[in-house]
Amino acid sequence: MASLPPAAEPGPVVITGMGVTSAFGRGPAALLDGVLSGTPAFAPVTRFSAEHCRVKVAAQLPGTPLLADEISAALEDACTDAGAGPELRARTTLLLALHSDPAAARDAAADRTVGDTAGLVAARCGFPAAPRVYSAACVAASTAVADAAAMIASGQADRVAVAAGFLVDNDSLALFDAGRALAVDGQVRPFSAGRRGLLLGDGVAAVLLESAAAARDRGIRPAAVLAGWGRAGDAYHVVQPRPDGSGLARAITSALRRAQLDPADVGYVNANGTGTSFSDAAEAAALHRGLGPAAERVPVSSTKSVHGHALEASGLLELIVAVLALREQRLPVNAGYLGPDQDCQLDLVLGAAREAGLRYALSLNAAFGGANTALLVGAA
Amino acid sequence: MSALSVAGSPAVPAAGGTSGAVPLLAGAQAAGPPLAAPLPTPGAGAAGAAPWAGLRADGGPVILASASWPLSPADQLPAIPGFVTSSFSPLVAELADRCLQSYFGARPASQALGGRTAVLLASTSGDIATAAAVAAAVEAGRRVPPLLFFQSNPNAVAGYVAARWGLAGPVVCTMPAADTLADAHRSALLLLADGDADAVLLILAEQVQAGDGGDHGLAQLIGPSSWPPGGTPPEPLSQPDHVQERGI
Repeated sequence: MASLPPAAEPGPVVITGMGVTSAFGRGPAALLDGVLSGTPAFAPVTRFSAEHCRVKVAAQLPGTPLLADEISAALEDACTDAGAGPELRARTTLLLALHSDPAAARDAAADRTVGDTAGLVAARCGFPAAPRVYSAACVAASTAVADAAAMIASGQADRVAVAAGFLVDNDSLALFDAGRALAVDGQVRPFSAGRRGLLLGDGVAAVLLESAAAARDRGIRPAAVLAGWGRAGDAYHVVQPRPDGSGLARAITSALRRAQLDPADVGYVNANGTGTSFSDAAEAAALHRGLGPAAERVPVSSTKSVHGHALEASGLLELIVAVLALREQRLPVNAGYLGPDQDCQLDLVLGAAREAGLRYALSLNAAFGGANTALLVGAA
Repeated sequence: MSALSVAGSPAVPAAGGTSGAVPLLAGAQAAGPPLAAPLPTPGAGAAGAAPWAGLRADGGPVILASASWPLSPADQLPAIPGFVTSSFSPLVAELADRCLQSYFGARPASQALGGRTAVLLASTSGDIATAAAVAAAVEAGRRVPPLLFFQSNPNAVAGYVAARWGLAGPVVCTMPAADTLADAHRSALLLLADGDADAVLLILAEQVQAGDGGDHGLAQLIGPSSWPPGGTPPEPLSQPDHVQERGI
């Protein structure tokens, strides 16, 4: 590789703008209210016919929104939040994490491929053309965030925008139904006895990441610091997680190492917590392996229990939840809980949102293929 | 469908797979932002830092081995267990096998090498045959075949490759919008510079609709020219029982 001049010290990576839409509505305030209430947003699917599926509920926005429209709106919100105008956007790399549009599989001329959607979002919001899209299932968005952070930390970029989106569609519901991954009781119960599986939910999110120095130069006060990030694979199975959680634990350790923090510094974990039997057990094992004794004390919740699983967008949606928890010093509820599972011995946030004095929050995601990510955010 | 860009590729294998260090990456440097500069080497004893992490700046990333498909019009893709209907996942798996066999020989990779090797799958097309099969079933009001649930996302075959070869670094799947190989090289170098992987198995796979050419792809193992200088990863892996039992 060609030798490059040493990068100027960029300082920490910070989050300067956020935009988000979920079944709770548009904007961070609606999401925060939803995750603190602990009231699930699941309802019968009306966007399309679900008559051939066993499970017919999901967490959805009203109507039939288009992915490109919703992502563009969230990205605009994030840029407005960060004070990023047209000139700044035009020289900012955009990374996207997208679920494929079912229209593309039905009509090749529909201009609705992932690349078409990405190009449309970039053009509408004034970013350079042809952004890279991350397609790595449930870690797509968190992987994009990690790459963006790596670009900034290494001095390759002053700032990177990351946007992600999934809107519940008939193909996805049919696939997850066929795979018997959906909760037949219509509730997501992460880490709980009697959990039956996941439910899908709309999720669209965007953030602007910057070096602390670049944000300071613009006079922008960050929303949070992205203190650490880590990634690791299980090398175990096509779709199942390694039961001992060692892959996810290595991702946690890597995030802590980058942040130069100890496990005891983590004040909240927004867990991947899909509500799937073996996945939640593996994640609990990962938390104990990655955090050691601190895992017995750190509060944990999976907000998938209320907003559902946003697939490719889940990592960014849940990162924003973690930032909001930091900002409010209140911890979201792990809804749907029926009782303890000996394989998931964690301090779950149950019943009602919990007041907390936290400085750092960890957002975990895991996906098919044994892909694991850990994002660690701190108060700005 | 966009064709896989191989222009500027420094590795054009003459057989099923080739090994031997090839310097990176004139093609990738021609476009886009600068390549990743190595991050400061983690301090001694830092968790996750492999003993050879400090050699990256000296050795520099190179293509350690490469492979492509097809090598001739008669080239066949072996079926892989649990994947049906579409050629996409078999293409990815075959590319990985050809590339890794030329470097490691028998699988799995040794724990010392595989433990911090990432799998990076880049595809502009994605698995269009699986997506079409799902759409056809939904439109016809039929239940979707359960196996399509697993293979509908590229992570599944990336995980198949990772489990088969014992590659426990990050698993990343991208859809580059343009300059596929150059973009994938930038992703690979960023993974190396970021420090969670010491090597990257990069697989580029494109599935082409009938009448528009044929499926094609290439794989490259990218790592420091001095790799492996020795040492062991912080957390050795065992080959999962189900991998041994099912022979995947």
